[in-house]
Amino acid sequence: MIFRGFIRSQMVGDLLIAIVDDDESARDATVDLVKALGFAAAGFDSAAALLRSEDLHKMDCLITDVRMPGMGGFELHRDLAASGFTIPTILMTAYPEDRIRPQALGEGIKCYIAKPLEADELLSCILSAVDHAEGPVGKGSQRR
Amino acid sequence: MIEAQGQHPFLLSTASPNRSQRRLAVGIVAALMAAMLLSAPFARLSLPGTEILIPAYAAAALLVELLTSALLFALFSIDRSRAILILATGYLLSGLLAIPWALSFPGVFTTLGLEPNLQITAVIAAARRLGFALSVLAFALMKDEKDWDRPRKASGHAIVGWIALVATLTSVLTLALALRAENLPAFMLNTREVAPLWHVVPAASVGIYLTSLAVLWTRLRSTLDLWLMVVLGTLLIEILLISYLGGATRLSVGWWAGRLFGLASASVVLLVLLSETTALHAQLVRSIRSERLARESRLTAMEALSASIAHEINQPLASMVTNASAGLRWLDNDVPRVGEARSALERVVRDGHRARNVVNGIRNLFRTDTRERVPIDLNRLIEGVLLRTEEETRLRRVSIRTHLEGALPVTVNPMQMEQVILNLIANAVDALSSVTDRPRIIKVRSRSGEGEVLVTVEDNGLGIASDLRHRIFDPFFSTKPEGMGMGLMFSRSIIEDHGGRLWVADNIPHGAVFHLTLPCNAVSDIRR
Repeated sequence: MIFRGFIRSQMVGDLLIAIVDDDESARDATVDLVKALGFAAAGFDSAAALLRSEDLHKMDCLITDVRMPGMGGFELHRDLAASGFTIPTILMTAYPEDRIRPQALGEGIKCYIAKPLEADELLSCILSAVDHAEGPVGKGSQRR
Repeated sequence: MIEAQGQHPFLLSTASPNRSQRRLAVGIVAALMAAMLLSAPFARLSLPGTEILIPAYAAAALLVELLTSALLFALFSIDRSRAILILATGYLLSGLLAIPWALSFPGVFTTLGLEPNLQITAVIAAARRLGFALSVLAFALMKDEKDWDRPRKASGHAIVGWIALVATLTSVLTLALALRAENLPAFMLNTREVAPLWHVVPAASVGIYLTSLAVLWTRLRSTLDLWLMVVLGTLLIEILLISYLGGATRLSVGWWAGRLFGLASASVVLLVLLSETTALHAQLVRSIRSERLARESRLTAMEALSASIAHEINQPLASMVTNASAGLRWLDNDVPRVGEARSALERVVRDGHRARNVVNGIRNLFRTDTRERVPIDLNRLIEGVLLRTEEETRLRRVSIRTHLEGALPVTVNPMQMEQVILNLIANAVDALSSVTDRPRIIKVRSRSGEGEVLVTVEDNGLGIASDLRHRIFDPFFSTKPEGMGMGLMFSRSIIEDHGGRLWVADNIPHGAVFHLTLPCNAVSDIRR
């Protein structure tokens, strides 16, 4: 198995990952892929929906689409950072641009990945994102 | 360009004369008539010794007529009209014949030892005048010949051929006249006065001029026709002065006045033709430039459209890849999770259908059978669309209120009309997404008016900023981050294609209201 021998393997299932995408089918697919990778996942159809969520503080990692009506992925990340609450964030986009990537990483985004999502790439992104995250990982997250 | 032959709007022979051109033409003819009347009392006054001016006059006439003929040959090379070729040839013949006419004129080139037969000048003058008059008449009769009668061969050969022919004809005629001078008809009594036989020539000329004028008058279409009428008017005045008012006596005031008026008028006509050619050319350049701009913006639009289409198709494709990856992961588990893998595959199927729907939608957009129209009741179509959007609007907490009046019989392409209504509803729903302080309401109303039906879709959203209102119907303009910016553009073009209108206004106190009109038919037409 993929996670066998990995230091955090026993904690993976405890990680709760928020997925924000306005496109329903893309969101469902991403949520399921993240679950298939062994994490717990919750989908939100907009940045606002995530920000309103009571579970916001339970999230260990955030995977968000860049282009969305209302608040986009970048703004969501900035908004969270400005409120002093940083979740390791992964940006996904159907239109990756090389000049955006360094800007994204410079702003503290953990990963900037292209759609369609590759399972292995997404996994390593999530793992490195939560690994580098400040503070204890998996703070009080609930198993789903 | 072959198929457009004879339809160029940028040629003297095809562009219609405008009002100011007509006024200028009438003005020139009027001025010449006034000048003729002014010089009439002195017309018979003799001006001996003025032979010295003949070479200058002939040179000027030669130049003006050669330039006019060159202009007409150039016109023929594009227009391929045989009428113009004949007219150009007429001008060339008249111009070239001015040379032997001046050379043989009694008492002009005596210092060079030229003392030709008395009758030669008169014969050349007759040939020149009648030849030109006939070419104008031929032009007037042939100018409206249909495209398919026109020669399609390279025009260059024809032009060179005709120029060579006219030059040869002029030379041969001159030579023949010089060699067989004793056999010539007696047009002249002496160097100044004409014999009775000569009167045939001006009479015949006047007849041909009047006929040509009449033909051109009834078939006046182009700028060239208009100015040829001026030329004919001038020639009439010239012949009146020379042969009738001037008593047909050479070197009289009338004789000179006729020639000088004729020359002045020919010069003005040449200048006008040149300036109009230039103006038409400038117009052509402008039109090519704007055509190029339009093509470029069309290309940009096509690029943007392909990008939007790519986005619409990529979205479900990306979901399919992600779902399939998830499915594989579930099966790769130590204990394969078949249930999860199955639902991942079901989503793959769903996404596949979605991609197909996108493709079908695009195909419908560009289908040729969009012109197929059937009589329907617009209200039933609206109800159908509202039924389809019911779930979406409920989910987004939007309530739709309808006030659809009776039956609205219209003849439309139902598929296109559904797209329009759907687009207006979807826009209204989107416009309400940010409304939180009041109930989200969309009102759809319809009624029939004078010969047309009116449908309004109003929302109580945030409305459309006035500086954006004129742009929302532009292609690829969208206020929505993920909007294609095509909906309203297509909607408007569909409605206008059906003979209706689509516009937007402010809704009071909140939101926007889209108005749509369509021509109405009789109620009995509705196909149930």
